[in-house]
Amino acid sequence: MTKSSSYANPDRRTFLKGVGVSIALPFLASNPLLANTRADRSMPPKRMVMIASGLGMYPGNFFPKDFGKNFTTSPTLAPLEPLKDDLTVFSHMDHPGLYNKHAGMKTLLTGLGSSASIDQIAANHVGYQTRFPSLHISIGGSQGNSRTNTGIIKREFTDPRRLFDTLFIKDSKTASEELKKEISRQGSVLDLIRRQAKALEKSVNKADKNKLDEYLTAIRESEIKLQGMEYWRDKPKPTPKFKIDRPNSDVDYPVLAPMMFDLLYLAIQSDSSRVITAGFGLHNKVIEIEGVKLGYHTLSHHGKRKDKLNQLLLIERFYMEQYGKFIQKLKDTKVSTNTLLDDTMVFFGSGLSDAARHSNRDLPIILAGGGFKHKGHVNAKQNNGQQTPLNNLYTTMLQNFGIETDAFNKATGTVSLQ
Amino acid sequence: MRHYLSILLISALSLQHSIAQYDPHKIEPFIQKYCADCHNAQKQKGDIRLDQIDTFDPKVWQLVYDQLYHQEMPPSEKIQPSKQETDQLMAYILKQTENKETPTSTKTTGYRKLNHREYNYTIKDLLGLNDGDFRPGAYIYSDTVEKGFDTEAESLVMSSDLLLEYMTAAEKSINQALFTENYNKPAPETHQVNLASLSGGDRRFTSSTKDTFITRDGGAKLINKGDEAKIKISGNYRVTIEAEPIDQFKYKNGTVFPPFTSALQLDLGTIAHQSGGVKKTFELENKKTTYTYDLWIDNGYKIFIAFANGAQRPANKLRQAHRANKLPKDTHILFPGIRITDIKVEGPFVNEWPPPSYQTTLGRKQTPNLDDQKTRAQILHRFMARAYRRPPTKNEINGYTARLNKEYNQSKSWHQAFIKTFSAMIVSPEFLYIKTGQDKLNEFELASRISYFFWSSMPDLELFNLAAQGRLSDPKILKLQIDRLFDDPKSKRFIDSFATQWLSLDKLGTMPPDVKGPYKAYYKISNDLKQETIQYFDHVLTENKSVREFIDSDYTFLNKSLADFYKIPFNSRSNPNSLQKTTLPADSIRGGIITQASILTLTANGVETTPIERGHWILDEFMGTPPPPPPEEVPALVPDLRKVTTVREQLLKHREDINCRECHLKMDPPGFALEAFDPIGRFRNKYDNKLKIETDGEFLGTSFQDIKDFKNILNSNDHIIARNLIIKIAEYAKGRKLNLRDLKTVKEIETASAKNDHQFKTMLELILTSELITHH
Repeated sequence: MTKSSSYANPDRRTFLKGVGVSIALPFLASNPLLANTRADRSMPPKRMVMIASGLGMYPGNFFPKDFGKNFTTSPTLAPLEPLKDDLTVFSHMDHPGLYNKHAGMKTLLTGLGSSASIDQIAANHVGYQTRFPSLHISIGGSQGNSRTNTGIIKREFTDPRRLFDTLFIKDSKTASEELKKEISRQGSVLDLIRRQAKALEKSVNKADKNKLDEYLTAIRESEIKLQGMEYWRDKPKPTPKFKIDRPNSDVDYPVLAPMMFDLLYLAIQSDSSRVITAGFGLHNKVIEIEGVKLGYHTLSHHGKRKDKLNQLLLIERFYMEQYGKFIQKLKDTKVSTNTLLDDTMVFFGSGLSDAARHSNRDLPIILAGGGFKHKGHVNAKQNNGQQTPLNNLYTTMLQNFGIETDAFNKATGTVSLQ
Repeated sequence: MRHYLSILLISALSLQHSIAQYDPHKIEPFIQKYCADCHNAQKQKGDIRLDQIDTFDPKVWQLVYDQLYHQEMPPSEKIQPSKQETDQLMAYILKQTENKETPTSTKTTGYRKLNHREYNYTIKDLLGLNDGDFRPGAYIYSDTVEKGFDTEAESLVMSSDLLLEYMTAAEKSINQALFTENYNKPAPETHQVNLASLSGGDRRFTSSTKDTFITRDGGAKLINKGDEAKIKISGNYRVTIEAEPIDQFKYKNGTVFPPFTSALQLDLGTIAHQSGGVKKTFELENKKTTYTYDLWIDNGYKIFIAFANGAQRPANKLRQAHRANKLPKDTHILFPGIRITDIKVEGPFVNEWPPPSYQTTLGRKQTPNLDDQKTRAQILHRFMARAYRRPPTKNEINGYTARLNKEYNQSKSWHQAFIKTFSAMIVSPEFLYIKTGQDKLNEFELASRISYFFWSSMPDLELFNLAAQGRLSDPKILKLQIDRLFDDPKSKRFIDSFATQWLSLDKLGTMPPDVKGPYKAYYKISNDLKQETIQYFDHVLTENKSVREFIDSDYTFLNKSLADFYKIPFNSRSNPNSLQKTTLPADSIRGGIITQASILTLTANGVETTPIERGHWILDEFMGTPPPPPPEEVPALVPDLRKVTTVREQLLKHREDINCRECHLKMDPPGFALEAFDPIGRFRNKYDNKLKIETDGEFLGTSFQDIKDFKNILNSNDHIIARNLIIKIAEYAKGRKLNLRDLKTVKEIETASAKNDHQFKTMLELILTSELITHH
């Protein structure tokens, strides 16, 4: 009960209309692959990877001092030096309207209190063209950045072994048969409860009708999900092109992070999913990087003390190394005329800038790949002196993804990356 | 035995004014004189405009009413209305709600989805599930309530992910209740655990032969894989384990692991896919010994054992060191271990058959004959009424009868058909949503309202029967039922969840201090500090103490660890781990809730204290007067620990900004008073950098020197705390924010409660018998 109401959205339905994109239209046709992009089947598929840090990035070390394509990489961004042509770093971007202390941590991908996050808009657009409409990974403590259209936080994989099994290990025949029965049974339950909800709908006021609509929407979307699951149920899972051992569940942070990114790369390369979120979480463990001695959360409250900032830099640079290696791998993978990176937007950001002040102004934002014309380090301060809403960039990303939208969650425009 | 004081009924207190039409001229002079300067067509501070008052906007007038009540408007530097003027306007605003023509609020939904807690309890009660490991709630998402209580209808949302999880949870639950199709009473059997195939430990630290199993792997849960090891009949079982410690005191040269001085411990627990846990920890004798334990095991669960205090973290450290080649080559790693030579599970020992979950779900003491159509109809009808918390309609019954028959045609088993049919029923909107109409609640709605308030679960048979007879809404019977529900141990659910949410105790543990840092003492009390506050709340309520005791008192609830933490003498002859009421020394700075370690920890971040955070908590949670969010353009404070300024000095500087001044004048002082406590609530008078802590300030128009003074100021404004509690309790019960019409009832309750010195239980009963409860 500490949260302020400044950004609470009392009427989600009004809001959903404002999103300006279609969210999971009911699809009762037999082929769940049908989605909005069908006409573009000849085009290479677009992908979106959203990587987040839970506790911000210390601005003093993160933002480069000069702008332009040939910017000088900052201490934190040093690992990205060889990739400067493939990415854009944005200064002076934020989510306007969020001042609540920790609001920034949970709203990176929405910019609002409770609403669908950018990845879920994309996932609904792809639907079950891939086995998983979206995948969500947490690296070291849950992040909860991805949200369904009613604001429910999507579940995340924390265990690399479970992720590996989900992606690559085929269900046993009995399990598959069991799943088939389960899907059909759940389908018939949905029929039944829809009739009930419809009957109730006749005799209620507007406020109640909104609640029942929420329930009926959930039924429709569940049906699509069941169809998608049934479609993929007995399709063979891909075999990773690269040799990878089935990972251990219990590994140290510096082992876990590269392992997770390897798995994400394989998920993309095998087209298991086109929408991914990954988060470096909030926690108070001592991250096992040489030179780091204090808990991560403690370090984030650095009080500008040098010893703490130095340790924080080691952690934040580690994130950039992981991010950079991931980008490099996509770049090194050729597909038809392109590289995987050209088809994949790889975003890095945090809902906080300096965690010590819980500020969500001047968010650390990087976008790589996606076939954009990248611009190095961009000053996103607008002519009126205000920061560019991050949702403007998200709008651009959704358009790049093939979604027709003018404004994602109250965006005021787009960001030019042509 | 709990006992309520006799109290006045609210209806007797209702103001007997005649209903007046809204007349803007009556309030215009007040508005022009005191408000219009800042809230007019040109200037609209806080986005509020008050110069257009021709129509009565309940939302605006609710705000005005609250501002006047707390004397926050007009601001102190402006000219102030007399008390009489203010009282007149407030009375006039409330009086408008008597007029049926006047809108008092926008419509709010009467469909409130069960929250996570309620779902779990309701399913268990509906199916008569033993309080075992199986938790229906484990299969569904947690609630994502951003603000307010977890009962708030608007926050409790549905999505397809969640609906699919409800479907899974439903099937798992009904199968758990009706777990066997074999209706014959089972005889106990003995199952010998196959030691050779125990798995789950690190192979480097476990070993087995045909008859023994050795584990040196601390914490690793050792289980038998496969379905064979699963318990098939829920019931009581006896587990017998033969075990002995090995290598406890024997070390090879170069071994780095420190020797054990205390007894080795062996955990026995139960586990299945989503839940389970340790049920018993044995302290091992230093020789081969047999240990037995009787426990309830749910269908589908397995037992596990684990070396509870074995080398775990040291082992990880060693592995790391080993990986980094930091250990001498000839280092032997040998940890102490436990050798198991026998495990057997005997059971089930069944007292009742059919088991309690069958009796509750099917409503029969005897095994029902499901081939009989009339029996099936009765079972279906009864289950439906309980699941829907009201009598089902004919249409509803027909629908599910058809469903049952269809399921039977597929499986040719009535047992299976019932499982499938019930599973569908408990994902229907009638089960998942608690429904209320828009005005006065009907009998069944009222039964659910008070049942969910106290028990977070469905009404019991007595409530159902009273509702069916149309007698529950009789004020005398309602009062008796409220007493009964409160006396039931299940009402602890209300105490726990309300206190936790009111005070934001759920924030504890989200930002824990560094385990090795200056505040590591937190870990000595991390299991107790929430409990201190909950027990304190429970005491004030159950013993009908004044709500002033939340502000200050001469006692609290402590065990040995908490007493040591607070440096308070603790003399107890009983268990030093359990919390008990302890009188504080006369000069103690503690007493009340706001100086408890829980509150002081949750209002800090484990690293540093910020007066703003604590001040905000006092204003928002404790007093119900949250300050507005900071204006957009103001940069947040940057704690700069290099400089020799205190956070107080920074805040005073911050206040020079006119945009910040108004709110920080209110918010900072309580925080200053609480600066006498470090991030985990220990008393201090200097910061880490040796600067002295200053705790003085001014609050509610009175100046204070320290936290004791500050508590006195709160004490003389106890009506604010009382009103906050009335509103919060009502919001928790109703699942929505209060509107202007509700505030009228709040006013009446506050007046009545003041006459009883704001005794908490009396206040609760005033609330529960008022329109706040009996109406939407």
